[in-house]
Amino acid sequence: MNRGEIAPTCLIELSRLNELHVLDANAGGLRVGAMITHAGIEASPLTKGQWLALTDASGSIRSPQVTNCGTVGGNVCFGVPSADLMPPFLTLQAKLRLKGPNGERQLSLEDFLIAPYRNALQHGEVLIEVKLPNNGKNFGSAYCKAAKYQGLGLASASVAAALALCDGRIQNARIAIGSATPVPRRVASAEQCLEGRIPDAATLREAGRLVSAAAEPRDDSIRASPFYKRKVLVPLTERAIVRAVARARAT
Amino acid sequence: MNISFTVNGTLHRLAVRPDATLLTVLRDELDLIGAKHGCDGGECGACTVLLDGQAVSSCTTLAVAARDRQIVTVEGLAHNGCLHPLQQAFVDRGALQCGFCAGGMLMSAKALLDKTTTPNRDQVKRALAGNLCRCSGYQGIIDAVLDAAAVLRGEVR
Repeated sequence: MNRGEIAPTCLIELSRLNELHVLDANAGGLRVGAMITHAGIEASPLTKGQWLALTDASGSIRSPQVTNCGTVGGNVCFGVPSADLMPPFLTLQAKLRLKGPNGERQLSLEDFLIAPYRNALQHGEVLIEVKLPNNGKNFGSAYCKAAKYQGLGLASASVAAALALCDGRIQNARIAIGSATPVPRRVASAEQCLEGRIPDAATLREAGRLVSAAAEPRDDSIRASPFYKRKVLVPLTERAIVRAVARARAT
Repeated sequence: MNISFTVNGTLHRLAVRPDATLLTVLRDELDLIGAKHGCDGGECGACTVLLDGQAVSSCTTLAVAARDRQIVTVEGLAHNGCLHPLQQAFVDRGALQCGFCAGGMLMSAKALLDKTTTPNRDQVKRALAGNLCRCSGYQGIIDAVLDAAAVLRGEVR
């Protein structure tokens, strides 16, 4: 709007709609309203424990002016491939509550993200909240990204990991990448390779290589070359899994 | 739209366009030109003001979103002709070159020092991470914020 690129005939200011400001944890899981800010996620005691990947992601955004105003709804709906909350939300099996003139519907985040800057929102529809199911015991999640400015810039590549530990072995591993595919997405091959394995160095390296192999960086990608993105995804994956494992042990 | 908000302790009632940003209303309607019109995209921090105590980019905040809220601009820092310790520290440290970023830097620093008067250097850097200085005077600015924190703690005058 400031740059004259769009001139809406109607503008609706959403900041005072209470329904969009929900942040609630209960037996059903975590509900995060579309107008919850990154600063709100980072500061809340509710986004700790099993949800720590969310705090990692919102805390990895550099400028206070952005974290104070930037919202979950903006991060989900804008559709930029580097959106920090997308890999954590994917690994935490996010469902989106959408509302529009034809009523309400729920969509998984996978089905919502169609292409860069394109999503499944229909005309007149808005995102109300993101719903995340509970994950049970010995579960941990983490988000790691490679970025300039001591890791606080826009992500050159990012990985989220969410997993449970049972007798020291990984269960229900979920891995997602951002900034390295047209839209952030889960990496099934890496998830399968982790299943039932002890998180030793060889396992971590194998998962890292599978994540790297799943990347589809653009030839003209801006913040880092395709070569760099593929390379850095290996240690990023290892780090995210190690952190998720440590957190699973701590719970 | 008719809205009201408080700026630097004074209640203002205004009629604003729905698409007007807080920055343009502050500058063009209220003649508060300390918040600068820089990138117009929330990247440079020169337009930073406090909205209910939080540092925000006024160029990407709709004026209507600020309705019924408390706004502090750089003009609200000095009291009765006395500079705020942050402003005094910027002067003493020569933390200004062209000065375009200074208003925003001061407001981001104010948001930090309102939360803690014992920040370390990294915390100051993090608080100022959304403010660009193209003269590259960052070290002096960080030194000044740490000096002001010491003044606010009562350690130095």
